[in-house]
Amino acid sequence: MGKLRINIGLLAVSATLLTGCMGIETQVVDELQLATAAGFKHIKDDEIEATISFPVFLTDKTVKNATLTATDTLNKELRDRQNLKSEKPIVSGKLEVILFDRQLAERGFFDHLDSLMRDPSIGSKVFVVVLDDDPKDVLSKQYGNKDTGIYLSNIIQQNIETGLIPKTNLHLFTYNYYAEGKDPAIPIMAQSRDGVGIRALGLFKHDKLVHQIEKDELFFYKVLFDSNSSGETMAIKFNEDKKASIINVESTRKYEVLQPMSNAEIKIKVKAKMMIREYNNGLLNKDKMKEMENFIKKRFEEKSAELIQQFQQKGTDPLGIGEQVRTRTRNWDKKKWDELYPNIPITVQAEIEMIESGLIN
Amino acid sequence: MKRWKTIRNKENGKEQQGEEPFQALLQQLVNSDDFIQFTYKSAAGLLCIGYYTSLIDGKILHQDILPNIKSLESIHHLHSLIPIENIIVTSDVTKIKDSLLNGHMMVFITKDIGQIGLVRAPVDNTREVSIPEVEFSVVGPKESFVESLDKNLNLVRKRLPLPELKTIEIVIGTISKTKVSVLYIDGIANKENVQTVTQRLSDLEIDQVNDSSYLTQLIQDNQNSPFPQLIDTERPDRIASALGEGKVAILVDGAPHGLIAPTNLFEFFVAYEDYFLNWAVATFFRLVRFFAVLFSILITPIYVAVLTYHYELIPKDLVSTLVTSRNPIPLPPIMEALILELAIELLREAGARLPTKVGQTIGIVGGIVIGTASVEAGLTSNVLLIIVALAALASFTTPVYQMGNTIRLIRFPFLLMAHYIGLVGVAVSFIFLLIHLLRLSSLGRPFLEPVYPLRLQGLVDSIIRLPIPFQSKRPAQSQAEDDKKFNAMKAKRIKDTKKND
Repeated sequence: MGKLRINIGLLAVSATLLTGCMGIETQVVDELQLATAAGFKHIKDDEIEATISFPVFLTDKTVKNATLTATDTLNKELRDRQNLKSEKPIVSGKLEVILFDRQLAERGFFDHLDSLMRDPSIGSKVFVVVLDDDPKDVLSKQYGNKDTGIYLSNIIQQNIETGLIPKTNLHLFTYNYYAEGKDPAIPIMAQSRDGVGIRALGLFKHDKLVHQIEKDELFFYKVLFDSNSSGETMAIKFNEDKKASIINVESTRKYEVLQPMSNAEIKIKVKAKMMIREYNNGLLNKDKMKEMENFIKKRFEEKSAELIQQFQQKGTDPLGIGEQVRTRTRNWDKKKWDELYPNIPITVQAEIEMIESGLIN
Repeated sequence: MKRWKTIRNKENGKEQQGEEPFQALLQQLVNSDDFIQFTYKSAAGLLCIGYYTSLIDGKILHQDILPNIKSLESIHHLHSLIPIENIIVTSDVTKIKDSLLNGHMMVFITKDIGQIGLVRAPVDNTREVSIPEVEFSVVGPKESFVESLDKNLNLVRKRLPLPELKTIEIVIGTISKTKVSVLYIDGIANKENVQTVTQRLSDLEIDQVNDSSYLTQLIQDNQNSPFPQLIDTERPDRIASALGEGKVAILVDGAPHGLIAPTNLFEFFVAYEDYFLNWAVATFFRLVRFFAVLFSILITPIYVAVLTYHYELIPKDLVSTLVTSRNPIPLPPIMEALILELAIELLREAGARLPTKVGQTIGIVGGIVIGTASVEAGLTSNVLLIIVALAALASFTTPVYQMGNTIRLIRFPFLLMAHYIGLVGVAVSFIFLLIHLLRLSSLGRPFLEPVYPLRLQGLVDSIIRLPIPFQSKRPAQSQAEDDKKFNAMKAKRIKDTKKND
């Protein structure tokens, strides 16, 4: 009994003493302004304009999109300025998308990402996107019964899962930024007549936007980028009105680097199984399938080589060819590679197999 | 108080013999209005009969005793006159008193003064063996214990026709004098377990034992733990199977529930019906039950913790549902949760106190009317209403009623900790719970036995239930003297003789 009394006493004492330690600030979810998107726009010199968009949940179960804008030089200062205008404290734990306008992207925005990465409540799966328009303009519009942050995030998510955009997020961006022999690539979004969407894939050298891959070329980029990929689609034109649409069922990509860290040729071998989705060039038969395989192979090799040449010219390496070399050599030297990279002959060898042509009755 | 003391003193004092103390006893007995005493003139002079009307079966008295007793010449001829076995003739006053209180009637004649004949004629007004209500099973035996120790022993013995099935009878309670039977199978049960149980029972210092649950509370290893450390069951088949596993069972006179020890945490989530079902189905049901326990304890605290501290953890598609439902509510999540938990407890308590028919109405009023009304009034969010209701439902899946109550109770410390320090609090509470469970024991055997310490022998029938041939050994926890139930090799080899052979 004595022991029990001592235990209870200890418990009471520690409970009274510890109540001071338990003064943790509560963050009740409905008493917060949950920012879902943050857009940054270059104003002049160091000054940037930041816009956040957040959902306002109405009692009739609809969601209204709202924004707050402030101008300053430091990212967290911006938050404080926005807080002054906000009904509830703004928190960034539910941030889904970070947008930078093109001007800022071309000047480099890594300093701004720094404050976002330092914040433990911001997930590393946040999407980083370049925006061709004014972030304030895009974020203040509402698309459907959700706030714009979630909407934009859904667009990107959907395109990564089923479309032509390679996987991208804050973590991958910083990884590629710091990686030797690889550069970041993130989607470029823009407004169009029917809303907002992904326009291209922006390529970076360090943290500066230097080049972009247009929609039509994304197919080749995606197949070259992923070691295993499937689901990408491409339209091909044989001539003016003879067209076909194909889908990549399964493709593998392999590098062949015979002499790393030298001017020797680097081969990228792609094996792909594809399927015809749409065809308007009369009846399909085996000969025509064979013909198409050859056509696609030729086109794939040409286009890929063209893309890689562009990368080499701009000095960016989104495919991570440098990383492939680095894994195959013990004499890795970043500086030397940077000099070598633009002049290495890189060729693509494709092996295309048409496995299906759909069902026609 | 003083009166009881004097009675006890008399009991403890030296055996008192002779006419003087008997007269005193008679005086004491006659004081009670339901003690009846009358005198006859018989062949051998005056014949006196005394008994408690409330304890004696009138039918036996009228048919077997009174017609035959008139020709009584000597008290020692009693057994030849009355067709009732085991008639005792004694002058021991204590024995006379105990027998009278146990449904005997006393007979004495003036000729043999000081010699009292005791005839057993107890009234049997216990209820009939009925269908188990607490541990109902769709398939399987449908008899449950009743309040009579003899009937209960009969139910167990019918299932275990063995001379090795032994019972030790202990009388507990200074005023209730409750008969308690300790059951075990000699040669299977560990003597140490039997010894521990009998010793703990005979050491008990208590005035009244009205149910077996008194004993659970009194003899379990840690009496301050909210977790029961003895299983109580109303199924004779469950007791029989526990005895077969080398455990010790306790049956209490007047209690329709028997006790099983030693036991472990996992057995509390075993419904006996599991053994009547296919092993895959039974395993699934058991896993559902274990999930239900964790769900019931953790879901409301997690809700409170996440909504109060960790908004980042809410999936983006769920944010709008949660926030919209919480928007009109002026209370912080903990108050909201406490109010609802309290409402559910009120409903349960009201339902338990009221007769069944009114209880159903309470369920409807409480569940539907209060639930929807409080959501519409903006006092609770409907998401939490669903969560709390599910958690309550989950806590009712526990087959052992006592454990179900524990599950409902330990949710509250979790809730408070979740409110104070969020998910860290939930984790800390869980650690405390685990430590407590690890420290618990049942008859000195570890409470988390097949899992920690890990014993494969018991694991086949704990969280999962493997096919019966796999359970060829008795669980390690009962430390059976003979731990082999049957030959596993023979059990697994199913051989059909074919016609052609």
